[in-house]
Amino acid sequence: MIVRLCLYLSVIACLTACEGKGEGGENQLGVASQTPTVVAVNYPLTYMAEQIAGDLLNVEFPVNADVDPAYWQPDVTQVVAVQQAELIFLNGAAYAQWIEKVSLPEEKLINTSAGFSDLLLPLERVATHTHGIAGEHTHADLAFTTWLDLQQAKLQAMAIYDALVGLLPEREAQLTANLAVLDQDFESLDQRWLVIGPRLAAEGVIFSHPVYQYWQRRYQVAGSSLHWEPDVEPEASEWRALDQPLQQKTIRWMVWEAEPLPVLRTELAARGIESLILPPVANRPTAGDMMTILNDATRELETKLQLY
Amino acid sequence: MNGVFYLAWRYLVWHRWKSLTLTAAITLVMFLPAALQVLIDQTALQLGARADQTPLMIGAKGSPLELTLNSLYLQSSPPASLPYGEMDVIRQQGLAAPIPLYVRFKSRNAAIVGTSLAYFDYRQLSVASGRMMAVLGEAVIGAKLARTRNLSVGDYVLSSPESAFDIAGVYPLKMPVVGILAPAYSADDDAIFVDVKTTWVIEGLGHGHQDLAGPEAVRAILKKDGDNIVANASVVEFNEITDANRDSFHFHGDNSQRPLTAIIPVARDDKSAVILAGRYQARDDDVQLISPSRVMNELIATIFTVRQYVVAALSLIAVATGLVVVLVFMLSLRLRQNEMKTLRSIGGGRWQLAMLAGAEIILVVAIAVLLAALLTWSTERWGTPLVQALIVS
Repeated sequence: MIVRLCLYLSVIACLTACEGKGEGGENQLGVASQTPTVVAVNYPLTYMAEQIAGDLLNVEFPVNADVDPAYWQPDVTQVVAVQQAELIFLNGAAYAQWIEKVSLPEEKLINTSAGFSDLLLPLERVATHTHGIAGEHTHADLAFTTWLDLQQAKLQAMAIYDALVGLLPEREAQLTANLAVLDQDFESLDQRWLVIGPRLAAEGVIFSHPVYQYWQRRYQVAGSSLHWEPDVEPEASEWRALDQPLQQKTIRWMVWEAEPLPVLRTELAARGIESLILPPVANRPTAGDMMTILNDATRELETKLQLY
Repeated sequence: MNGVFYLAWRYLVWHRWKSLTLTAAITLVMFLPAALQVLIDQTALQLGARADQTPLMIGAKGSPLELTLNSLYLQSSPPASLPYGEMDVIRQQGLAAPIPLYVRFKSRNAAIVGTSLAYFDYRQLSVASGRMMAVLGEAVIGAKLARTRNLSVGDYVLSSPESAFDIAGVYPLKMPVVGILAPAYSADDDAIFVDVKTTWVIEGLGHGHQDLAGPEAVRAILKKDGDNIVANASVVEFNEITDANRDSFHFHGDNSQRPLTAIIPVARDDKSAVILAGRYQARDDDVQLISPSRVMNELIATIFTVRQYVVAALSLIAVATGLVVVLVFMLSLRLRQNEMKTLRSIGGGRWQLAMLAGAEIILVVAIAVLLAALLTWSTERWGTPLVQALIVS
């Protein structure tokens, strides 16, 4: 009788253990299924969600570090994994066009820029084409680095916060406190950029790539944009495109997304242009986070502009 | 007693054609009203059940019946379309979660239902084999369709052109089957489900084509005017969305203006449903909110009205048939006077002869009742889906 009882208890213990193991297994995004998982389409939104949620959620950003999230194309396995998320944070402004080509649960999609959709900027140069009955059309027409205007970033963080409160209403106090810290970080940096912007504009600035539209608008940094990559040496025609405006006005600074090739720095210096780096941090940095990267870059800008 | 029934049975067998005719007439008189009752009751139950599962439906102004039949039973011709932007209008009110429906295209006779993943949760549809649709162009099909067309995961379904004469229209889209749904015993079993964006590709509102800036498209370019490229109709457009060309697919125009045939608003609670209904009643634009169960009840009430006329007609026929049967038996007895005399001569009493005539009637009526019951049961078992298909088509 005692042996049989022990046997029963062993079986029950095994079943309980197996059940527990199943609950604690990993979901398709590779995270423990007991904690809700949310997904963001770019790193700034991932950072905001991480800061607001703390350890209450798994915040997934499925894009590899060497890919621009704006142009990432997921495979079917990745889409199926994203479908399982509790919330999917979108940037809006036609960012991450893969969203248009996949099936995602619409009630889980949170467009974080919906609150300021009337303030989105059209792209200056857009390739259009005409064929068939559809008539003339374009494939992307909005500037999408919305988070570089930190007031917009705050609105995006608020959209994330609202969605997270809906998901975890019992944790509202903690989420609110975390949002306040993030807002403070954004506000502080915003004030520094408000000083930097007009100074840059006054001394003459040009941008290596058209990704700073919202930064230019918010911080009053008038300046044209080229289509240069920091790791690609421009062709002669592209140098001529730079030299043309130089004949009409003084340009002292060129803002890059990342450290340019040494030859670029040298060539630009020969034209009296110094290189500045302001990373849009669209993808997860190899070291640090969004705020440390932007704070470091801002300190560098302030030093070069002798704002200390 | 057994002898009376034996003689009656032998008589009926001997005059088998007369007996068969009488039995068939009585069977039909009993079967037709019963079958009508069964068919109407079951059709009402089935039509009503799906409508009851969908308390509210939003569509463009027009026939509520057409909207209901198209959206619930995936069968009738498509109603007028409403803009996709109505989804945002519903979301912003915070009263209901909208599920889009675009039921316009077909693959042969199967409806292609453009919708979102929420539809499957709402209708409690689960994937029996394969997986749910994940990317543009993928299809999940109903269990019955898979069985009748012998389709399995990895096969393809092709959208049918809306018109055989539309030779300059949109190419049929070849869609891989990535999942087969478990049987739901509803209209969903016969349908093909795709993302609503895939139906817009079928319609030509989105497409993929070779890169017009690439060297392979040089022969298709008519002119380049700055950043605007004008190409001729020889641009290669893709009729299948694959991993290789998915990136080239894009949509034209404003997302909010793309068409839907209906929206199912899943209200948060009864109060939200009432508020939502009230707001749509107050609107005077081209959008309407209907109650499918009310629409179906009206349809069923119409069917019941028709049934009353049919039952009245059948009752008259039954009376006429009964009189004919009585006449047949009376004439039969008159013709059998010599036979009756013989039976009386060999000792048959008046009461026994009356029992013999009665036994014949009882046997005929009993066989007719049995046949009518069998036919009614068969109708209950197999007739309803047939009639339902006739009604909704």
